[in-house]
Amino acid sequence: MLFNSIDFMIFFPVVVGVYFLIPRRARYLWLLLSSYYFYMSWNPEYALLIAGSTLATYASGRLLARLQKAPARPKTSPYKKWVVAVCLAVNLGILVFFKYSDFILNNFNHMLSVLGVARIQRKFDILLPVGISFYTFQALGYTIDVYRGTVEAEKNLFRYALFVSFFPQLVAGPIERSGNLIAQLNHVEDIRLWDYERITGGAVLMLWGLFQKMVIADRAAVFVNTAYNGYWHYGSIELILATVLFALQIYCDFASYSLIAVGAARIMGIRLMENFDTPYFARSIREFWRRWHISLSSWFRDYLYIPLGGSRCSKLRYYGNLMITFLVSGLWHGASWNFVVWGGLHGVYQVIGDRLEPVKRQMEKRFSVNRDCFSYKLGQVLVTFALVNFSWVFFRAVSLKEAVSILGRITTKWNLWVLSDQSLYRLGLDVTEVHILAISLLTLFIVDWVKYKTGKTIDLVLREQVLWFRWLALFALLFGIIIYGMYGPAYSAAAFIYFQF
Amino acid sequence: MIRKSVKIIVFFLILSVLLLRFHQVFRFKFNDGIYGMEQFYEEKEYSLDAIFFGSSHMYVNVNTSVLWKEYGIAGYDLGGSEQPVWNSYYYVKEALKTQKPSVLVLDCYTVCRSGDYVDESRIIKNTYGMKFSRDKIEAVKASSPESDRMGYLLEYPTYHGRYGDLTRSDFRKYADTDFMRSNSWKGQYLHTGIHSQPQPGTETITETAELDERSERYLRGTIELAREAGVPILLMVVPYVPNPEETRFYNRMEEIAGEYGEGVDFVNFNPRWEEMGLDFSVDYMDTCHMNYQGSEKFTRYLAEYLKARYALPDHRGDDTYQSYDDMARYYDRFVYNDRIRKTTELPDYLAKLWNPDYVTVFFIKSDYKTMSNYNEVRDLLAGYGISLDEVSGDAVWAVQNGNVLFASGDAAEYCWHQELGRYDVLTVRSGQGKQEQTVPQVFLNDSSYSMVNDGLNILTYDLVGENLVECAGFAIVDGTMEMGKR
Repeated sequence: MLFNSIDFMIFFPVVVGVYFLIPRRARYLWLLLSSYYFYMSWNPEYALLIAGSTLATYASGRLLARLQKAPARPKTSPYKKWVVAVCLAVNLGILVFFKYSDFILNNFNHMLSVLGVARIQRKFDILLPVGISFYTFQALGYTIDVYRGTVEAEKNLFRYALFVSFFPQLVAGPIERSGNLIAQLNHVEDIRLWDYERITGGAVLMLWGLFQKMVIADRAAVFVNTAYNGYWHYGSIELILATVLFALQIYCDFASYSLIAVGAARIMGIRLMENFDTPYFARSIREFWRRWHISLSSWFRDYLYIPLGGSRCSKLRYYGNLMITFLVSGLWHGASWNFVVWGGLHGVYQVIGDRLEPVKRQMEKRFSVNRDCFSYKLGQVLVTFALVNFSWVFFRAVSLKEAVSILGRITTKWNLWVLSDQSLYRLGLDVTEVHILAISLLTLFIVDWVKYKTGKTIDLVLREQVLWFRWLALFALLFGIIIYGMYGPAYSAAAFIYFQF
Repeated sequence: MIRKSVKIIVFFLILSVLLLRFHQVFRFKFNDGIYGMEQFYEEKEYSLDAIFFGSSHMYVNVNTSVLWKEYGIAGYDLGGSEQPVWNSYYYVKEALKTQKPSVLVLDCYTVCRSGDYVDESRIIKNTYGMKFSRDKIEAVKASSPESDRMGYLLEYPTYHGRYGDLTRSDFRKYADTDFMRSNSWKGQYLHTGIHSQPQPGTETITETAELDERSERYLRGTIELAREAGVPILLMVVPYVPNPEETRFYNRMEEIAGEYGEGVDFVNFNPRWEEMGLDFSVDYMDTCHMNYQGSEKFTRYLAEYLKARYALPDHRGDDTYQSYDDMARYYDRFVYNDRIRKTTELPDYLAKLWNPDYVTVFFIKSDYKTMSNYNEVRDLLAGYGISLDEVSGDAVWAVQNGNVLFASGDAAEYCWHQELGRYDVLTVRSGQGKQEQTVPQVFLNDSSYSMVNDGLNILTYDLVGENLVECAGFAIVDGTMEMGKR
C-alpha cells in the first residue's frame, strides 16, 4: 500500500478515525493491528519476518534488562555482549539472506569462473521484503540502546511490536530511535483528539509530501528513465540533465515519503524525527550528510562510526572509519557494486576534502578570499551539488559498467545543439510537462530556501501567514496534486525509490 | 474551537465547489456513451415511449428524430460504444427508475461477444454517464477487473491527466446550445459519410450456437428486469452484414426470447433490408453503421413495426415534449447543412445558402474580371447584394439574410470582425502588418480559411448550431470559373 495510492487514502482516515474513537487504552493495539495490515498489504508472509525480528530484539532487550538488574558480577558483561551479538547475528543474518544472497552468490560465482570452477546454481528465488533494511536497523538500534543503558527495555511486547512496525515509517523510514518513539508510544493514551494546529500541520506536511512525490519526482522520473534506460542514444547534455533531474527526483521521492510519514504520525499525535533538511543547500559533503537521510546517517554515526573510533584517533584510522562507514552505507542502499562505489565516493570526497583543507585555507588567505560573501557560499553549494551528482550516476545506473559508460558519454559526447533543436522535449516530457516540472521545481526551491533560511517547515511557515494566502497555497497544492499528479490507470503507480533498500 | 470549526467547514465548502468545477471541466465528454446517459437524466419522468439500448449499432441506426417527426414517438437511444450486455443490463435498470416506456428495445449485436472485460475507453463510456448509486458501483464491478475498480468509481484518476487536452468545449455545459456540437440528439449519433458496402448474402442459417455464459446471464437478467417492470422488451438485430457465427448466436437468442413468451420478442432485421429500401451502396457509413439517410429508412420500418405491436402514442403537439420539437428542428438543420456540403454546383449552392441563420463570407481572388463566365457569376452573386462590377480586384463581402455586413470594395488594407454565437469570432482582413500581402484573409477564430487561391471562396457559418458549415472554393481555371465545388 503506497502512500500515493487510493488504498492509503481510504486506509489512513479509517485508521485515524478509529484511533481517536476507540477507548484510549486500546489505541496502541489498534495502531499495531493497522501497521501489520499495512505491511501485509504487500505480502502477508512478510509479517512473519517482521514478527521474528520483533521477537528476537524484544527478547534480547528483556534479557539485557534482566542481566543489568542482576547483582554486579564480573561475568555479567560478557553475557550482555553475547546477547547483543546473537541478536545482531539473527537480525543481520535475516537481512543478509534476503538482501545480499544474490550479491554474494554472484560474486562468489565470478571468483569460481575466474578459477575455472563450475558456477553454483541457486535452487530458489528470494524476494526482498519491503522495508526490511529500515525496521531491522530500527530494532537493532533499540537492542544496542538497551545494552548501553540509554533506554529502558520495553516490557509490553505489543507496544514494542508497534515501535518496530509503526506504519507511517515502517517501510522507508525515518529510522526512529527507541528513545524517541517508544516513549511516545507509551503515552498514546494521553494524546488529545482535537488539536487544530497538530492536525492541520500534519495534513500540510502530507500534502507537500504528496506534491513532491506525485508532481515532481514521478514526472522527473519520466525524463530520467528515458535517458538512463537508453543512455547510448544520448549525449552529454541529456545525460547531465537526466542526472541533475535524478538528484531532484530521488530527493523529492525520498523526502516526500518521510514528510508523509512525519505528517501522518503528527496527525495521530506522534512526532517523528526530521529526515531531510534542505540537503542540496549543503556547502560540503560532510554537511550534505548532516542534511540527507538524517535518520540513517545518524544511525551509522552512533552505532558504527563512533564505535569504530570516530574522528578522535589517528588520521589514518579516522579515514579508515569514514571509508568503512560510507562503504557499509552504500551496501545498505543496495546489493550491488555500484552502490558500494557510490558510498565509497562520499567517503573519498570527505577524505580528500580533509586532506586539501589546509591547502585551500592557505590559497584563500593568499588571495584574500572573502569567505562570507554570497558568491563564495554559492560556489561551495554548487561544487557540493556537482560532487553529489557525480556520485548519483553510480546510484542510478543499473551496474558499475553502465555508470562508467554514462560518465564516458557525459565527458565525450558534447551536443550543445540539443538545447535549441527541441530534441530535449522528446525524452518523455513534452512542452507542457516541462513547464509543469519547471514551475513545481521553482515551488520546491522556494519552500526549501525558506526552510534553509528560517529553519521552519512548510506547515509552520503557512501557519504564520494570513488566511487567504494559507488557503490559496493549500488549494494550489491540493489541485496541483489532483490535476498534475502522476497517477491513474494510464500511469503505473511508481513505488518510492527507497522501498528497494 | 467554534471559530476553527467554522474555518474548517468553510474550507471544505470552498474545496467542494472547486472539486465540482474541476469535475465539470475535466470529465470525459464522449458523445458515444457518456452524453447520452447524462442527458437521459434530464428527461421528464415517465415521458419516454421507447428506450433503445445497446452499442453503436443501435444509437447510430435508430433515428430518434424520425421517430418523433414522423410518428410522434418519444424515443431515446441509451447506449454506449461497444456496449457489453452487462452494461445494457445496468442501463435498463437505471432507465426503469424514472421511466416506464411502452417498450424497451435491446440491440443484440454485442450479446454475441465473449470475454469478461472490454477495453478501458469502453468501460469509461459505458459507466461514467451513470449517476453515483449502488447500481453504478455494481456496473463498474461488472465492467472492470478488481484492481482498477476504485479508479473507475472515483473517475478523476482516469481524467485528471487531460490538462493538456482541454478545449473550449470542456468549459461549457453540454446540454444547451452545444446540442449541435455534441451531435447527440436523444442519444442518437449521426453520421453523414457514404461508403458503399457489400450486400448481405441470401443464404439462410437455421442452426444455433451457445452464447457466452456471462453474456447469456446478463441477457436473461435484462429480460427479467423488463418483465418485473411490466414493460415489453424487444430484442433486435439492426441490419448489417453478419458473419455466419453471429447469425447462429442470433438464432439462439430467438430461442431464449421464445422461452419467455408474451412480452419478450425477438426480431433479426437483417433479412428484411430490401423491404426497408436500404441501399448498401449509399446508406452506410461503414460495415455496421448507416449514415443518417440509411437510419431514416431503417427507423421508418422499425417505427411501423413498433407501432403495430406496442401501444405507442403520438405525442406531437404536446407542449411537454418541447425538447423533441427542438431536436426535430436541430435535425432539420443538420440535414440542411449536410445537403449544402453535398451540393457541388454553384447555382444550386448559392440557392441553398439563402438562409437567415447563416452568415456567409464571399471572397474572390485573382483576375476574375476577364473570365469567360464573368456575367453568369456576377448575376448569381447579385442576389446576395454583391456587385462585382463595383470592384476591380480582390474583394470580400460578409452577408447575412440579404444584408451586406461588410464589403471591402477596392481597399488594400482593412480589418473587420464580427462576433458569432457566444464564442466564435469571424475576422476579415488584408494588408495588416508588415509581412502581410494585400490579399483577403478570412479567419474563424484562429483558423484561416481559403479553398482556392484563384477564384471564389464561400465560408458559411450557422448561427443556430454555432458552427462552421464549410468553406467552399470555386476555382478559375483557364480563364473560366468552374461551377463545380473544389
